[in-house]
Amino acid sequence: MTLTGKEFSTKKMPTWCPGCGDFGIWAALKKALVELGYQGNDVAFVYGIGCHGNMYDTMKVNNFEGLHGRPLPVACGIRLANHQLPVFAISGDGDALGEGGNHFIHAARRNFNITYLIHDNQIYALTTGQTSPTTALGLKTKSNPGGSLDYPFNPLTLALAAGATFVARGFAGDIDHLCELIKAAHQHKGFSVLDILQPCVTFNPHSSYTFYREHIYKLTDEYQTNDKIAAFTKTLEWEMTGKIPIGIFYQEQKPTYEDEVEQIKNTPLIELGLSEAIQIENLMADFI
Amino acid sequence: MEKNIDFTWKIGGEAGFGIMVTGATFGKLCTRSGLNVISTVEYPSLIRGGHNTFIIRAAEEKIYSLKQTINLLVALNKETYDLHREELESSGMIIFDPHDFQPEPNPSLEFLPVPFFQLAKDNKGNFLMRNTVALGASIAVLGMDFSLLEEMLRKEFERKGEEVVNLNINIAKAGYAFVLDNLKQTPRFKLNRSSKPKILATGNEALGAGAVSSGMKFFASYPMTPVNGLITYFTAREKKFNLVYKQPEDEIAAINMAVGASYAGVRAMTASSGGGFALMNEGFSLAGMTETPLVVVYGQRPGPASGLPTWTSQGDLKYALAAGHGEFLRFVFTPGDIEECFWLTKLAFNMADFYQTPVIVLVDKYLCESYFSAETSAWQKPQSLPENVWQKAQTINRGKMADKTDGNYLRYKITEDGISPRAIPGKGPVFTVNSYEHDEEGLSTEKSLEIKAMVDKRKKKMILAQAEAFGPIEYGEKNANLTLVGWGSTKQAVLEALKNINSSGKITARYLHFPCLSPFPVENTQKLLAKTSTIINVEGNSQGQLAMLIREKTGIEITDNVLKYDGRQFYPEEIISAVNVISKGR
Ligand SMILES: Cc1ncc(C[n+]2csc(CCOP(=O)(O)OP(=O)(O)O)c2C)c(N)n1
Ligand code: SF4
Repeated sequence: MTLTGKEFSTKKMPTWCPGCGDFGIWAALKKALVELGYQGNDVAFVYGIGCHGNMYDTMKVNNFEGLHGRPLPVACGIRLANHQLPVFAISGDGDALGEGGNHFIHAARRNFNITYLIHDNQIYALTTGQTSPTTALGLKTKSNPGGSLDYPFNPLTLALAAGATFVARGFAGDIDHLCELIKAAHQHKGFSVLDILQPCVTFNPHSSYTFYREHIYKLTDEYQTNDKIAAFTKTLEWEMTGKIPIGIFYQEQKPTYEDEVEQIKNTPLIELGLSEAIQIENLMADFI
Repeated sequence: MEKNIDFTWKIGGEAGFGIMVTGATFGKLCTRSGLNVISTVEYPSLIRGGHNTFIIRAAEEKIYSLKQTINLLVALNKETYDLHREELESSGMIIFDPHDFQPEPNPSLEFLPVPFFQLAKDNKGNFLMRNTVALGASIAVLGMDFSLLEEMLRKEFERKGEEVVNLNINIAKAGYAFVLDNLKQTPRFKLNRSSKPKILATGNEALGAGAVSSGMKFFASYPMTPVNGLITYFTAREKKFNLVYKQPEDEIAAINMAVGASYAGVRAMTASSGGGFALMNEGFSLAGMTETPLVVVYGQRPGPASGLPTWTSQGDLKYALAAGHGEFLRFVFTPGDIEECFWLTKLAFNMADFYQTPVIVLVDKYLCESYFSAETSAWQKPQSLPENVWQKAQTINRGKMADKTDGNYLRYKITEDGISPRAIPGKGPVFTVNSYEHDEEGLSTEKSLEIKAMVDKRKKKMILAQAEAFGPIEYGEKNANLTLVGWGSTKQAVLEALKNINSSGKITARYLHFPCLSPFPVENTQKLLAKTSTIINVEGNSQGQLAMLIREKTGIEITDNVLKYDGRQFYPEEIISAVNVISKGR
């Protein structure tokens, strides 16, 4: 397979383990950027901390590599300051659902126009293999050598419940399909959650390429993406039947948060001039 | 009846009785009558049922602080009378509703029964409008111009229609007329509408106005006393000012949103108290590492933990100075009044942009939520800060920005002064900012030389910023034999105390006020403290944290401390008596 999107390369090469699912996501993402017609300066990317986040070093776009669990609030701040700048946020299952779980719920319910990619390897990889919020019950990890006692939760069900307006699942082992999902997620106006099944070949042999290839299937056109109740049921299929659907589970058009802020309806905040009202004499009038 | 006007008015009642609005209105009546005003509110962390008070001291001469005693007590319930009658000076007056309670006779006090509720009812009002009757009564006693109150009520209720306006005016008038008919003496003063307007603002409002006039465009803050007033100030005017307030899910989100907005190119601010600021610490450090400008308003209240939510403290100085892990430049400004709140917020934005680093404006509940008057000139040019500080604060300075067409742009370019031109995403060259240690391009590095170069770059900013230190500001007798030191809002009580101490003729005293504690003004402090034998640190915490800091920075040891940590601000009387005790011991 040839990579497209050389223009997005930096002097650095990825530091991921050979065979890591992050390579597939990286390739699909760059392909999507090219197909979306973007240049590096047209977009801003915000990353969490984890193997996933290490991608920033290899992406020639406007990057903000922030804190573990906090890419979303930074992304929201960027959107409010300049809603003409498209924003991608790159996160992991630990980053998005553990440390950053609160932000996830609230960004979803507010419907910020952000494309949110969760590199879901069901493990804390960068810290060398501890239990994450999506780790399977009973899986032996460094933090639970006797097997994880925490029931995992389903990021897609949560995203739906919290009000995300685009909810999808992709697979790092199917770059073309993933690329289409990334494009669809990005073209969706609103908070789009794309949970990506990402094999971590080093710390989570349980969720391997082979395992996924044996269990996933693609949602077809017959599946209606506008039925929220059906979407809830669909997100639960993996737990209920062991079959893993990938594709778009749900999509809905709703005004974004940015759309609803009157001050920036016509002009992004960064372009708004300083109003006369901020002259000291005018400010003082309120206090006299 | 020509006497020097200086009175203290206190209104008390249950939470929910409208004490806060009444106090604020009364404060403005005073400033519009040409008086200087200092006030504070005291309330428990409850919505209803708790005891609330609003205290205002108003005077012709410049005043800096409240006194412990009062002249006029407006009791909207018996509890107010029970709790506060001891505070009345002799010949003080109590205005009360005889249907609520009957006070015990006391020949040194004057009792003015006003049937608040009956007068409200007679004029189609309800129980909750008793405070409006009390306002009318108060201004009659003091001899204020009723048309001022009428004007304010009109403005306040305009939106609700003529009927509501008239209802309120009639009720106020009923209180006013009742007093004029029943007062044994003539009104205490004769106060006319002043032609020289004054500002009346809370610390929060002054910080807010400073931020707005600095071109702040984005504010994210999770509600927490005592900074909620900032949120209210901005949200009431966000469309007019072209700014956006976002209520976040928590303080971690607040600071990260502000950092995101600042990265995207707008001036951004967040605010909280100790508990919320604790949650912000990692984000604070993020601003330091990514070199993103950020202003944080930190309104102290007593801790640890939830502490005393609605009371005041200066207990977090050392915490604020050390906030955020890692070594990076942080400014900490410590304004003492609404003039300094305004200017130091403006300075904070310029310093944040110029040095690309976070700046804390450290205030406290007393300053945040109390109303203070100032001359209008205070926000045009500060009297209390050095000329060069004013110049640095006055106009918006966004610092070094990247050349938009720079093909070889490096976000973290190593420069002579450590400051690299900043870029805005989408508006110039592509760039990376990074919370990991990075090279000039912003890409991560673990190479020894590159790490050291970047640490040195940030350190250069710390060294350069040392030149921005200012203060301490000297007040009182230059050659005094006794020196008081302090920071933040204690300034006000100390200045009030100084008037008395220096006029007593026994001691000469001066005060060194520190409005900037990071970077610390080392040389100036050494110089100014060198010639004094007795130094007293006046501070609202239990350890004397400023004294510790002065010792750390200058080696000067201050052993005399006047410390207060009961949630209340200092009163000048307390400082005067402490100074007397300490100087007697010498
Ligand atoms: C505040 C904070 N806590 C903990 C860490 C340590 N840490 C770094 S990455 C990580 C978990 C990574 O898991 P995930 O987000 O799933 O990313 P992955 O490495 O699996 O891609 C943790 C706990 C940190 N960097 N910051
Ligand atoms: S540890 Fe796992 S997630 Fe991290 S790079 Fe290696 S394979 Fe990928």
